[in-house]
This record gives sequence, C-alpha cells and structure tokens, in this order.
Amino acid sequence: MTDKGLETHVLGTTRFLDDLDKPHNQVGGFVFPSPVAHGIIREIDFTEALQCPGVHAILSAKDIPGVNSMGPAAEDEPVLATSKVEYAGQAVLLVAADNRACAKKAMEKVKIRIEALPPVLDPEVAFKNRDFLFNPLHIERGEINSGFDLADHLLEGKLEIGGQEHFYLETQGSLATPLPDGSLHIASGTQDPTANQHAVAKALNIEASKVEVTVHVIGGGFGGKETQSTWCAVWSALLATACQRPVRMVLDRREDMVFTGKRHPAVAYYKVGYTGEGVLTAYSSRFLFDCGYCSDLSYAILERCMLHLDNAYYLPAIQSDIYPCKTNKASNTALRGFGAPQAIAVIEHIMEEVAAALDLDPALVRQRNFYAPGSRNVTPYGQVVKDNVLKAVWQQLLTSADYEKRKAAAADFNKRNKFTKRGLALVPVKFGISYTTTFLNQGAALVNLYKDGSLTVHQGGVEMGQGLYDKMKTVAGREFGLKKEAIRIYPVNTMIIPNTSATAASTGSDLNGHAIKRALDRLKKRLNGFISTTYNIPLSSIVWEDSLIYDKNKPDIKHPLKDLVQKAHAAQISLSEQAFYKTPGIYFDKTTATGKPFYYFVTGMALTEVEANMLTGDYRLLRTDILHDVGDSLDWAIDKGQIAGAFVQGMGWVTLEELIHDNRGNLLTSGPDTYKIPGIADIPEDFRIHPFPGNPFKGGILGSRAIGEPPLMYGLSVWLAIKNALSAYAGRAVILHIPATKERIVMYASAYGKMV
Amino acid sequence: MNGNPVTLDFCEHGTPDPQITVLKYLRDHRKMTGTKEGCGTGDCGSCMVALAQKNTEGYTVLYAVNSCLMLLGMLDGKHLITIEGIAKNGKLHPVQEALLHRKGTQCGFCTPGVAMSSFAAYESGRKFTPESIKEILSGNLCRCTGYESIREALIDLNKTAQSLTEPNIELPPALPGEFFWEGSMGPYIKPQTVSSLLEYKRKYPGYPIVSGASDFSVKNILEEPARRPLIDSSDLEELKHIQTEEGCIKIGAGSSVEAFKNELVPLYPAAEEYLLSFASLPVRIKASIGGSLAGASSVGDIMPLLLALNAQLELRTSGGNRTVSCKAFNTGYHAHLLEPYEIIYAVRIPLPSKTTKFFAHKQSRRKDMDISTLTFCMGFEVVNGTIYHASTGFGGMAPTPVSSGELEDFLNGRSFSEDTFARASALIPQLFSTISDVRGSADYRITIASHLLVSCFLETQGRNNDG
Repeated sequence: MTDKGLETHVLGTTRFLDDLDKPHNQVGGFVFPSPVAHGIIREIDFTEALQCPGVHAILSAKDIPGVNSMGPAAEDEPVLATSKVEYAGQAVLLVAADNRACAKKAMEKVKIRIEALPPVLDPEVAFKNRDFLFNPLHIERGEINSGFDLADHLLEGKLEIGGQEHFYLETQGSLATPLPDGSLHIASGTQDPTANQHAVAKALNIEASKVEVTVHVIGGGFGGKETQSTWCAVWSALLATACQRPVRMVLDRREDMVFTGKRHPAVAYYKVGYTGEGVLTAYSSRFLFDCGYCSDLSYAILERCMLHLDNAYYLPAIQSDIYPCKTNKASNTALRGFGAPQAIAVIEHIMEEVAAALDLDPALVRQRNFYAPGSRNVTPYGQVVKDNVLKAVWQQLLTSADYEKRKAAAADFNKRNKFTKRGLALVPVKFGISYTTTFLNQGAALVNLYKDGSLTVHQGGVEMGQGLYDKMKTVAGREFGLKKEAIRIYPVNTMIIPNTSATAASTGSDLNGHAIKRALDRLKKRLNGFISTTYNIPLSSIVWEDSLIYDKNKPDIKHPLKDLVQKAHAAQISLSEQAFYKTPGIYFDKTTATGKPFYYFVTGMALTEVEANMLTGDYRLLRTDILHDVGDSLDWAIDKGQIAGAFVQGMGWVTLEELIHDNRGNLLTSGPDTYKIPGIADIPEDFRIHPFPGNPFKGGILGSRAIGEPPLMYGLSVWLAIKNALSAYAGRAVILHIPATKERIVMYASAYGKMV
Repeated sequence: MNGNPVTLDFCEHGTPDPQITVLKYLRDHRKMTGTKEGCGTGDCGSCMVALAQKNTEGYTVLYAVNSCLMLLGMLDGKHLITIEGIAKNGKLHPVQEALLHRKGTQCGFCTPGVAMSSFAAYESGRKFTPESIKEILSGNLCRCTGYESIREALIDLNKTAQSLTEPNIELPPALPGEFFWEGSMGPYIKPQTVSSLLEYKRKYPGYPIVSGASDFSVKNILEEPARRPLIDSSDLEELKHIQTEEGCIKIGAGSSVEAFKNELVPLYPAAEEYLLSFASLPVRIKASIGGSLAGASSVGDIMPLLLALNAQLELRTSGGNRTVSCKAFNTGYHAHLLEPYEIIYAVRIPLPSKTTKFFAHKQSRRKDMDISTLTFCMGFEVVNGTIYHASTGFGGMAPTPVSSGELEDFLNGRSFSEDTFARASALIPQLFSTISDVRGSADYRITIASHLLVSCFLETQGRNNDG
C-alpha cells in the first residue's frame, strides 16, 4: 500500500519498480546464467558477443572492483561465478544492452566451455557425503531414552516435504543510477534495503555512505526479496558503474524462478513415544534441509525450524539434529514461516498418526499435548510459554465450527460413498515472534512535524502488501492525536534511516511501530512543556486529538495543532525527533540452544474439511474456520487479509505447488504454466476467519500481536484433511507426503484400495 | 482507447509494429504503466485489459483479455479499456470502490488485472455469485489476499450491478478493406474474406494464421522475435459461423472456445465442466478452436472432445474443400495432415440422440488455467442396456490426441454395466505406453485413465452418490 492507502492500487497508479520513469539514457541489465548445474568453467570468451549491436558492456567476475561475494552471512555466494558453477541458473556474466532481444542475441555469441561434474540434487545424497554448508544444529532436552521407556507405544517414520516458489507477482528488479560524485542511487524492489546498500558497496569497493537505496513499494516479497534482492541491486550497480548510465534490471518470470531460491525442501525422520492417552513422552527427529548451493539465510532458517519442532505441544524429552545439506540448486532462502513450517508439518503429522494408532480423535490428542500452565509450560529451548490461550482457542473453535457434529456427518458420508471421502483436520499454531538472531530486533524512526501540523514519518519497514504503512499511520495517528490525512509514511531510504533490519520475521509493525511511538512520545513531551505555558494547560491534562490540542477539563477550547506548531517553531523548538527501539528481554545462546529467543508467541487454530474423489484426486475445500489471536488488532481488515492470504499460500505449498528438477539439475517448473499457485477456485467454499477476542498483548504496539507468518501454518490443515479423507478410503492411516498433489492422492488411493 | 480515438499509421517511422503485444504497446509506447507484466505468458492476469467489440450478431460485447497475448494489430475497430480508463471524473468505478472497501488488494500488483476482469463482467451485467466469480477471475492470480476479500468485494457489487443487455460502450469504425502492413517485424495481413485468406495462404504458404494469438504470443515473448509475417484472422466473421445442418452442428474454426462451449454444452451437458477448465475465461474468449486443432498439441483439449464426438473437419484451400474425420487429422507429434496452403474451415459435430451418453474429464494439477496431464472423453449409445458406437478421445496419453479402437471394440456390444467398465478399465495399461513429464508420471497417467472409465460409468448412469 502506498502513502495514499490502497486507492492508488485500485487506480493502477501505484508505481512499482518497472513503472518508474525511465531515464532517457538508461540501458537494460541482463544475466548470462550457467547452463549446467555443476561444473568447472574451462573457457569463456565474449569478445564476439560484445560486438553485437545494442550491447554496451559485458562483465565477468574479473570486472568486479570489490569483493566477489554477496552472501548475507558466509562468503560462499559469488556475485558472478569464477571457475566453479554450482547450479543451473547461477550468474556468470552480466550484459548491459538496449533491450532483452539485443542481450539475447549477444548471449548466443558467448563461447563458454564448462566441464560438467555430476550434480547433487538430493539432500539424502548430500547427507551421506556429509556435504553440509555449516555445522548441523542440535537441540536436546530431558532424557530421550527414558522418555521412550516411559511410552506405551513408539512410532517411527519419514516425511518428505516439498519446497515452494515465492511467486510474488512483481518479479525482482533494480534501477541503479550512477551519480557524478561517484555515489549511486539504487531503486530496489527489496525487503532489505540495508543489505542491498552494503552488498553494492562491497562489490564496488566504495563506502556504504555512497550507496543510497530507496524502496517505494514492492509487489509482494514473502521473504524472497530479503537477501536475494541484493542480486539485482549489485548486478545493476556493477553495470551502471561500468557504463556510467542508469541500468534497469528486471528479471522476467522464468529468470526469477530459475535464478532465485525457494522454501527449503526437507526430509524428516522422526520417532516418538506416547502413552495410551496419546500424550507424547519423547520426540526425536533428524531433518535434512535441502539448502541449495550456498548458505544464504539457511542457518537462521534451520534455527527457526529447531525452535518450532514443538509447535503447540509440550515435549518432555526431545532430541533433534538439523542438517544443512548442500545441493546443486539455487540457494534456498526465506519464505514466510522461515523453517518453522517444515518443523510444524512434522509434529502435526505425528499428532494425526498417534491419534490414528490409538483410534482417538486427533483434535483431542492435540489438546492433551498442548502446553499448559504449571509443569508443562517450558519449551525445549527453555522459554516459558506465557499468556497461553491454546486451550481456550481450541474450545472456542471446536464449538463455533460445530466440530463434533460435522465429524459425525463426515463419517456417515464416508460410509455412504465408495470413492468420495471427507476428511477434517485441526491445526494449531504457536509461533515465536522475534528474529532469533537477537541483534536484528531493532528499529528506528525519524518524525518530522511541519509548520502546518502535518507529519512525515521515516522508518525502516518496507510496504509489500502487508499493510505496514497503514498500520504505522494508525500508530502515529493515535499516539500524536493526528488525523490520518496529515500523516505521510515516507518510502524507505537508507540515507534517512540507517542500518535497518529487513522487513521480515513478522516484526515490521512491532519494531517500526515502537520506534515511531518513541519518537512521537519524545516530540510530544517536548511540546507539552510549551503547550502548558503557551495555552496555560496543566501538563497532566493536555489532550492531543484529531490534530487539536486541549485541556481535558476544558474541552470547549480547542487549539489547532497548526497553531501550536507555528508558535513552537517561532519559539525555536525543534519539530523533529528520532528514536530507536530494541526488543526488550530477549536473548539466545546458540551454542546450547537455550534462552528466551522470542518476545512472545502468536497462537491460533484452523479447522478444514475437504471432500476428495479417490478416482481422480479432485477435491473440494468445503469449509475452513480460523480463530486467530492478534491481541488488539491495529486493523482487523488488514489482519484478516493477512490470515486469508497466508492460509492460501500455505495451502498452495502443501497441495498444488511442486518444484520439479530434471536429473541434470534444471528446474522444470520454471513458469506459471507448470508451477501452479492457488487460484480463486481453489480456496475454501466457506471461509470463516475470526479474531480471538479479549487478549491484548501489553508489550505489543497498541496491544497488538504480529501477523505475517503464523497463519501460513493453517494451510497444513488442508493437507491433513486430505490425508484423513484418504485414510478413510484406505481404511488405515496413509502417510501423505507434501505436497499432496492429485497425483499423490490418486497413486496412494490406488495403492491402498481396490478401485475397480 | 479509454474513450479516445487512437490512430496508428504503421507506415510512419517510429510507429510500433502491429505484431507487438498490446501490453508492450501500453507500457513502452504509451507509458501507461497501470497494466502490469507478471509473467508474459497469459497465466497470471496482471496485464488484463477490457475490450469492446461487435459480436457476430452485431451486439456490443465487452470482455477481459490478457494484453500480453493480444497483438496490437488486432485492436482495429475495437474499444480498449485499461485500468487508467475506468474511474471517471475523479470517481472510482464501483469495482474499484468494492475492492478498496473490502481491502481486496494488498501489494497491489495484481489489482489492475483483477479490477479489469471484474469490470468487464460488471459492465456486461453479469451476476457475481461464488460460482461465477470463479469463472470471471479464472485468469487472475493473486499471491497476497488468498482471494477471500476479492470474492467479498465482488459479491458486494451485486448491490449496485445493473442488468444490462448490452454494455454501453462506443465503438470506433474499423478500417475498411484489407490490411497488408509491411511492419518492421514482417508483413501483417488482415484479410476480410476467407477466399482472400486462402489466396494469401496459397501465395505465402508458410505464413502462420493467428486468431486468438494465445498460443502464438506465448511462443514469442521476446521483445523482438525473428522477423516473420503473419495472417490475422481474428475478425474474420465468416470463420465464426455456427449453424445446424443434417444432423450436425457446424462450427466455424475461427469460433472462440467460449462460443464453441456455449453451442456444445446445451447438446452435451457433460462437456461443460471440461470446457470450463479450458484455460481461463479471457483466454477462452480469444482462443479459436481452429488454432487449438492446428497447434496439434498432444494435450490440446479440443481434439479429444471432438474425437469422442465423432466430429469431422471441413478443410479448405483456394481450390476446394475436403472433409476429414478428426480421427485422421493428427499424423504425429505436433503434426497434422493440413497442406501448407490449407486451412481448417469448420468443425462438424453430430447431434446427440436420446440414447447418447457422453463423458468428458480433464485431469490437471489445478482446475483452472492449467495444461492437462491427460484428458479422456467418450461418447456412446445405450440401447436396451447395450453399448453401441463408443467413440473415445484421449489427450496426453500419446504423441497426439488419440482414439482407442481397441477400447471401443471392447465396449461395443457389451452391457452398460459396472462390470463392463471395470473390465475396460483393466485394459488400459495394455493399450497405452505413455511418458513421464512435469505434469505427471506415466504410471499416474495410466492409473487415471483406468480410473476414468469407472468415473465414466458412475457419471453416465446418473446416480447421485458414488456408492
């Protein structure tokens, strides 16, 4: 959403990166990608390509003035490949050309000889070769063996979990403009302008202060434009510097899908012990994460997986190892949920399996395992689960969704129908809010009050559809007693708010909202003294409301803010304030995997019912009910939209969306013709989303809780409902790997049941 | 465009080539950036615009179209409406109001496309029901909203919707006569009659004919593809004639898939769902059945249907006509028996009798806007409990869409019973050797094909539950 709210969106006047005015001398930036997934570049010659009409520059790794590395953590991510190529699509050369057609013709003239090596495409193979990008993560608490000894039953298994393409509607892009003083302006489609700034500075060997990165709005991010948006920024900056002309680089859809990383596919091996009541006594697991060829954000992603193995359940004894397997694929990266969805899929799958083994209601088994006040309230990493509303949400959802009655009706339906089966599944979420890398939990804001009483807010959060700007306006408006129209949220600019954290980890509203609130509090405090003397209002009774100032005991006399500001300016009082916020009281020891990594948890639950045809795998989503705790919502319409969107995105991940590579490592699902995200016909026919009432978060901004990622987990309810429908057909619990494509449904159904 | 006449002189230097897409024209040449490019292949709908034109009966029709699939030269005589043109005098269009009110927009990138698909439906007087909304937005993808707020917004529109018979949109005059533009990308020819089209076809046998351009544009997403001429038949009314004759319905090959659907479904209701899952509504409105057949894809969805319907094709050259059975049309992978100077003129489909049963199923990953993994269609007669004249069509099971004579022979003369279909189902693995690809494994294809014979029995016997 832009500063004008959503109106410019519906008018089509919102300017995304590719809609910005084109400088008259701009050229296009293009990437020559590696055609093979793994190999050694023996020879590369682009002299002939350079002669092609419309080509302005071709750059290779040798032409990088600074460091040939753009990874966020480790130095294992080259800007351009040097001798080694490690995935099909890795950038080898950059081309500046008049247009894509010219660049394409030039690329056809590039002579490249790559000695191909066998690619590793399966994390299981990488695991066997011990080919890890960094040391595996390990968490352990309680006595795992005595936990298994305590159990009445044991359950072991394997779950395969697919990856997911972000499929933001706006592809990645950047417009780099060299300025006469040697500095650069980068308009970037990024969630992390500071990362762009530093990556560009490092590659060009210039100071970060010479790289101004601005972000207007982006057409969806979902984590995909966090670290990996630096690529276009760096590439366009290198070309712009070489050509001394503005370079616009906008990936087309196929390039975006081939070049950039995705949600990590994973394989999980699990073993649990449980009592006759279905209560877990021990949990152990081994996750093999398919990280792709370099580290990117994988460490933090695997860490979040480790911290969500439990989801909503108390695990008295736990042991888990999470392996960062290196494969010859694009480097997998952040995607809404950030490692937690894989962990949560496994424990939710276990809940279904345990319930099936004991012939208990899975909703009941879940409830028995919930974190509960008293002795069952400490996470495996030692954080106490406070403000726990799991049981209350569960109770309320099962009642409002008429669970018992519908479950019985589904069982009856299943008796009457041979090939069409219904299934229900309930999925809770307990999601930790904060970056697990503690220092990233910081935000800053600068507020400028103008002489007419209007306010500009500078902050570090990028608007990508999540409604951040609108929420920040709400915060500023309520704190400062301002009409919304008087507030402008300024596009993010690294020259104004420095060293921002990425807009990620669902922290945007919290970190930036608190910073804005602090800045406004200070400014208000300064002005309150002046108000007191100027208008003769006691400090304790000053009211700021609707851009008016008054004495709460004399509400008839109201002073326009404009009048106050003009007087304050004349009295030489600063009308500008800056503030900084860091999330209080959180810490995490990475060596022992203990601490209080999360400021708080977000909880909620979803219940989905499906009807699936076992002959064709077609299914209908009959109904989904979601009850979600956002505390005092800053804007329920925005939050409801986030929940619906996250649910459908999560559902896509576990049902329709499938990444397929050929055995040479080429991504076959490289366009929307083969990679299918949900369409409007795929959403629940009856879709009910409600806030869990009456539980404001005191430490949150205006009592609210974060929204972005947690509801993605609700999509898992579709997968498990299909699993249950399939199990009803097969007459036994069917292990349904992710994604539950029609192909999987049909093949399992035909393997488990006699069709004809 | 948006209420104003636009004249392009393709002879003038600097005028964009008629072969470029409407999307490129809008964004690059007119600097109208409200229309977005999300994929360039007609899959996402971010580039949706609305187009008004006269239909074959002379009424004004308004529909949404993917501007990335439409060629600039095809706009002649039509009224193009973009997202920039629907708000009037500073007042949002009701569709925009509704989307805004329900927050049916988040990041905003898909929003202009969603608005234009909805606009076309609204201005055409369509009702917004949960079912119709699925169809209206079948060509639009959104990754943010989960569609629920969009669905709510469209339902709201029923409050202000007008019941129109004809959208109130002015149309410019079409250029008189025949066009032959020597564009920078090659000649662009727009004949006015079929005989003229056939003359061009004889003169330049290699020239591709485009009607909907939906397939053509996907294959040419580069800004400047290799120079090549093309013949535009999109406005050739004669190719869109539909008439009933001698126990057949004859549908012009230039008819859109949507027009084809509207003719066929009253005769063969079982084809409705099948044809509703053909691409998206905007693509169906543009894509021609002739184009689908001439494309000769193994997973083209029209041919399997025609095979099962025992349809015939009327082919024409400037020298004469011939009629061929659909079963003889495809000669190999992406190959058919059309001579270089020959066109598909019309499709002839036999009318059903009281004893006709028909089944059609498209198996694809996603219901809408997806290419089929396989399709299976079958028509047959049941007289006194016995099956006669079974005719089958499979897509995605062989290099071309095929009928299975063996399967038909097996069914003919047998009783219309669960047992017959179960046994037919068991035959499938012996009848086909198919391949694994990105849309499904060979095993899956064989399994589904087997299952579909069971589904076919269940559906054609007309029982409500499947027990």
